[in-house]
Amino acid sequence: MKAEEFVRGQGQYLADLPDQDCLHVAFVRSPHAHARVGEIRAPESSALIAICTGADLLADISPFRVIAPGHLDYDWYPLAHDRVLFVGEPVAAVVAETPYIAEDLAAEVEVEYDPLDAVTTLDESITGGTVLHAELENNVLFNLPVNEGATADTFAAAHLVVEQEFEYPRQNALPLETRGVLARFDPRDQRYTVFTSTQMPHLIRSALSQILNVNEDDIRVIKPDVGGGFGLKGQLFPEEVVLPALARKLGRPLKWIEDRRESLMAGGHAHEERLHLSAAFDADGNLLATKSLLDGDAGAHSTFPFGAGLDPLTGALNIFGAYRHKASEFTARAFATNKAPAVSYRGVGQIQSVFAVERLMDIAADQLKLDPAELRKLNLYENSEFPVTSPGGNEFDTGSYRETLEIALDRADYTGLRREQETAREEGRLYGIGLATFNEVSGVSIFGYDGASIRIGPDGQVRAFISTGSSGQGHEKVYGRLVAEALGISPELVRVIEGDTDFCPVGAGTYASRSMVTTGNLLESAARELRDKILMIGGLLLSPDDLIPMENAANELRIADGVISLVREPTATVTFEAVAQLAHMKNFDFPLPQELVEAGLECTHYEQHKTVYSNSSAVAAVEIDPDTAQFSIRRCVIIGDCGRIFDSSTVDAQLVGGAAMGLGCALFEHLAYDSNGQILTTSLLDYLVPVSTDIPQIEIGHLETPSTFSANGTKGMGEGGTMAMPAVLANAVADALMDKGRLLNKIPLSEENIFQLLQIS
Amino acid sequence: MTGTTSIGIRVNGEDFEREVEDRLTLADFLRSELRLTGTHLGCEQGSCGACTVLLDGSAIRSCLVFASQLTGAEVTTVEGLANQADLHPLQSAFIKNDALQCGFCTPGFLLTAVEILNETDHADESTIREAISGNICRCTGYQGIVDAIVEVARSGSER
Repeated sequence: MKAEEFVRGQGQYLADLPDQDCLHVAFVRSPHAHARVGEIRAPESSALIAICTGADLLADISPFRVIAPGHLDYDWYPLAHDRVLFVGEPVAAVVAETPYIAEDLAAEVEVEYDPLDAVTTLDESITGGTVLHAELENNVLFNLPVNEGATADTFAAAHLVVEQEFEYPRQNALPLETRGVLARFDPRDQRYTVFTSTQMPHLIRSALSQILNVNEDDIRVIKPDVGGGFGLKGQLFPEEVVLPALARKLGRPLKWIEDRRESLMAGGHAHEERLHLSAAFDADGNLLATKSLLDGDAGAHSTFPFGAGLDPLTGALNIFGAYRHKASEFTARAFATNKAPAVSYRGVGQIQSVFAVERLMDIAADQLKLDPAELRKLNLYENSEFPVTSPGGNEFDTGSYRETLEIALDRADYTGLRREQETAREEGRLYGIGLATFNEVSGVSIFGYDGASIRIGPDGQVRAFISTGSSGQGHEKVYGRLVAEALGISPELVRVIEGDTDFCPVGAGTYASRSMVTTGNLLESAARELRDKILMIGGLLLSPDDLIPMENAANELRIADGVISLVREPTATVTFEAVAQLAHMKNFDFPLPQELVEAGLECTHYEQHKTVYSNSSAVAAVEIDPDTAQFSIRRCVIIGDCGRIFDSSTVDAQLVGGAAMGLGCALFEHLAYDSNGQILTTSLLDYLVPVSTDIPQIEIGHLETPSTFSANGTKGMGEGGTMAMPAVLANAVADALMDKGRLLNKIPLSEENIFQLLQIS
Repeated sequence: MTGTTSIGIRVNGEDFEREVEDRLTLADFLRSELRLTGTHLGCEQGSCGACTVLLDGSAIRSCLVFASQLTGAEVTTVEGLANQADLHPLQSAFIKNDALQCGFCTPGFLLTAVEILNETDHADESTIREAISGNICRCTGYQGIVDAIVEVARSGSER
């Protein structure tokens, strides 16, 4: 059991892999946001085993293009070769016997830099005085306008138009385990083995095969235990290229473990976005049309596989998604700046858009003189309306949008909270109540299909191979039970194997709350198919003259706790293990017909899954201390609906843990840069994440509205708690600030930002 | 390269004599010299608590201490908590209360919790919440961790 391994300290994370034969790598990183790179001088030291610059590396790799729809392509190099584009960009790799010595030597490498003007804000990037990528005409890395002009008439005729600009800061997913790579090259079979702390082994293999100019089969990518990912480990990073390339060149295995400073500086930023939203309403408060411009600050590069548009596009595609309206137009853009490249982080795109949309709904409610709950109830899709095609073009499967809101309001005692607010206001206290309700894109299948494969051995041991991988989501426990239940055997017989490209089916990996929806379904269908074959063989053993066809097997035969029987004659039984043996080893008394021998006890299924939509509603009450501008959370309720729930404790843990992470996003998490592009937050003393004393009691609940788009009825459930928090807390804080709250348009809800609002006269 | 020092140190009840580089941290000593990789490094800045071990009974950050300072010291790591087959009551309670997901922070929390139980009789929830506030967990939201420690504190079954 993984949990037992972990509490014993026996988990094997990247840094724990055997490394006695490894040399160690340290990276020389740019201290400048934007500079031309001149001469690089290595220290004169016998301890320096090798140094590799961007120019050196070009002999061993091909430049790489991030080919994602809507993106403007340019060549990407893992080590800067003529210019550096952000503080922390790797310039050279140094190899030594120990990590300590490698770091010493990296600090002694002298690099000549010729600093250039840095582009550090969206506005500077849009103005385009300095263009970062010579192959491009401007700093636009992604631009996708959808339904241009489609809402103009509706807006012109509307009773009310509300419009507001919102800002969401740059954040870091901060998995507690940093990234790391251990790469080996075996000259005998000319194969690379790349251990990396990743969420997507197969996509990393595909990218490496292009960059290293070798076949995919010449690379084995292995994901060991991963100490948290939260999206950050869902893309290719430069170090994943440099280590295997150098391991081959030097003929020695190499290891690199990122330190926290590197991670905060260059290990993947996310979420920074500016959103300009407009919404048109009729006099009754019905939402008619929406118009959105989402501009993401992508940092210096598009990253593989999602590209620079990831955040703004994901947010824009489903913006105002929970609310019924007829016309929608939106534009998603991403701009290059001299900051670390943007990657994914839990709540991708939607954490920003939900915050902005929910703020706008409160602003509209205020102008329409409606209670925020009433305005939402009026406009949220009813359960009976599904399936729905949104004006943005999304097909929504099922949902309980309005119902979760009603339950959340009830659970939080909304009327009671409003009474409490009245009393508080009479006493001059700043007490506010916020709501947030939204749907959530999940199970997204872009960049590949997914696969699951089950193999039953001669002794009845079952191995389930999947294309997604756990970084704390409990795959081993959940999928082990899922396969066991579908086969009708004990979970102890099942081992889940993931994260090894030599064994697991090709697939896109773990992101976008997709694993249960994709590989969960595939495992279940593959296990059912094998169960039927096992029943057929068992039926033949129980009644040798009567081969029951596969389509009747599940009706005429039973398997429970690994024991097979005929429905018509339940007393005679045969065991699962006996069938497994018979399926593999010829029994001279009882040879199986060829149709049952063929394919053995193996089954593999692949599919491209349709996107499914979870939904959540949240209610929070806060009180602001006017002297410190701090606020305390008096009540926080989140009701989620992720379709069918297979493992309730795992679902609860994801919702509560996700909400805690969302609290960090709402309150503290902010990667700050100065105007020269120097990053100011490079330790956990500057970049704050929630600790135990920061977390209020978060009350959760679930509805189960099965998806009609997934065979098992599940939907993604990893991100709703996270997305809820900035929105619901921003609305509560704005409500507490009364008239001044109208202007609350940015995250984080820091003392500094609240203090500024308090100062408004 | 810095100088080296000979140390004699007791780790999880076993005595070790080693010649160590003066700048080698206790965390790296445990991980690379003794291959006790259950002590994890999350920041190497003393901020995250993942590398917490017991040094002469006190929970400390092993990334902030040099092994060369520790002659005569006694260290307990996560590997020293269980008795082969039998998990420490905290380890069992962590599993039961869903106090972990990715497991990376877990050893640090366990050692911090051992100190809480050793130092405080009948620690209540708010005491425990305060006492673990120097350890970061990104997965769970802490509730399961608090519940697990509360459960063991109440049962009084700590060793």
